Amino acid sequence: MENIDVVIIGGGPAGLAAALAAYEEGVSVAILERDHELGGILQQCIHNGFGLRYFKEELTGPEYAQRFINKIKESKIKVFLNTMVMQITSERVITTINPNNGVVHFKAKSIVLGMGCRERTRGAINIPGTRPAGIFPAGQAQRFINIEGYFPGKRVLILGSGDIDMIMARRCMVEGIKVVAVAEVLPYPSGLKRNQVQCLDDYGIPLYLRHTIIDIRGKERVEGVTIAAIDEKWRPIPGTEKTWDVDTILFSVGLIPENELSSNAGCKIANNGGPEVDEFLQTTVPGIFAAGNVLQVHDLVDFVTFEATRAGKNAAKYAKDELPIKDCQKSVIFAKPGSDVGYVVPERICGIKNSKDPYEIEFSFRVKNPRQNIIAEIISKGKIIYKRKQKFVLPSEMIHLKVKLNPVDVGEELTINIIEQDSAINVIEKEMLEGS
Amino acid sequence: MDEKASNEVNEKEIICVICPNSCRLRVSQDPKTKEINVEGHQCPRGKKYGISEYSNPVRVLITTMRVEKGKLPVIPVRSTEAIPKSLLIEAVKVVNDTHCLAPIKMGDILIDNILNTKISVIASRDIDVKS
Repeated sequence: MENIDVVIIGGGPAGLAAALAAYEEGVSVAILERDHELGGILQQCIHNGFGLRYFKEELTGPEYAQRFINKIKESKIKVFLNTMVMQITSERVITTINPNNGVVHFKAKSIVLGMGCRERTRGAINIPGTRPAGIFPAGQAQRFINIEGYFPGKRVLILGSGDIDMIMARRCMVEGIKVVAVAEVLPYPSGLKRNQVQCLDDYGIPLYLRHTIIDIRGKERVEGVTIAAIDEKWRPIPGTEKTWDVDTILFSVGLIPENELSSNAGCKIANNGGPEVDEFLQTTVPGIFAAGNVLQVHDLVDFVTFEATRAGKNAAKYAKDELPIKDCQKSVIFAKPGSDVGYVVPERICGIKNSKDPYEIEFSFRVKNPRQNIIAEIISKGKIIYKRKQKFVLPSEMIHLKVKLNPVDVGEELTINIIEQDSAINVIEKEMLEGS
Repeated sequence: MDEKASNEVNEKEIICVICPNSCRLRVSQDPKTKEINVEGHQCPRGKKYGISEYSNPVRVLITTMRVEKGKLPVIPVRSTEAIPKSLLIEAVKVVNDTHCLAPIKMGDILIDNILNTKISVIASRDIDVKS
């Protein structure tokens, strides 16, 4: 058994940032990574657009990862590659397996969970048709092309208009793989606008909103696909069918935080699929922290880095017995999603009740619907204790609220709402907002 | 009146893609002075993008290149600056016809002055030699 102060599970963007932040606190740190190299999903995201917030310059995914990997190489952080974590206990004993040393145990003073997420597969959505080869989650196809160096097919239809779908559409076109169309069940594209412009519009790829696949043809290999428009109840509308001969279908229908290890360790899992955490990003198991896509699926890696830096620093403080909150079960206030809010992280706040000064908390959450001219407000004890105006909100863009709350204003719980700017505020409040 | 009418004719709506704010720009060119006017941007980079996208759209070249003796068969590469959009597909062909040899460090120049643009294609990451 190897004793280490802070053990990081996963060597992707969250794990890299958490490891460096913990290391800067002067504790011993190890990263456990199941792949043959560090970097995680960044290594296959070869497009640019990363790092504008964190590095203040535009990088590709591999460049973003390499900068962290180079820092890790200069440090004394121990890196265990090809190492699969089999189990984490609530006492923070970690069981791993790797091809060279077999089963190896670690004992950690604290742990940061940074396992990321995985793609939902075809089985998660009921697509009709035969089940031939040639149907891939978009991220898997991305790995085939960008890391392993071979193409999944020659003519492709993509289901889903998330960022990865649109980026894969462009990647295919650049490599001479014809993308016949992108179909999306929602009435709006679910990825960032700039990806729609640069990936679909640039290459003249048609985007069919409110459409889904109603048939896949082919026995050994995909031979064709049919899509159709859907009504409000998501039923295909007869007469709207469009058919193409394709050999490949890519789809991405969401990501699932990879939390089998977390729940086996006893961490309570919240409704958004990630572990329930407090404002220190500590799960419901003392000494186990979480950050990155395992906690909540992010749209920008920069925010993963910011979040994981906090988790790594707090984990190191826990290991040194310096974290202000030791027992994460007591004096908890719950933060809840209110009107038009999908989820809120953190779900629990441990430190505010005993605080004498205004207490700073960083919330992140997503809206359920795209809206304009809204107010994000925090309500507790029936009163508005914080509000902020925002011009646009989109489900695809996570909202971050860094707030300072007065402990006397906060009751047993607080709720975050998204409301219309004109519906709920009077003139005086409006002036207050505009002045702020 | 005349000025307004002619502005409307050559006005283009361009969505800024520099950052995720996705500002909706209205870009037009004064027919007399040839000056390009941008509205709707929130930062200087947005204005620059509006002018560039209106007059000469450019894109960063992003693809992979074959690696010999590398730990991985391909390496992600990018152009050091954006190249004219019209040259993208041709530039990808040049990259596809080029091989490089491991070991490679991030930032290594793999193709110098691609298609006489004075822009280089560089490695996005390190690739070690296959052991």
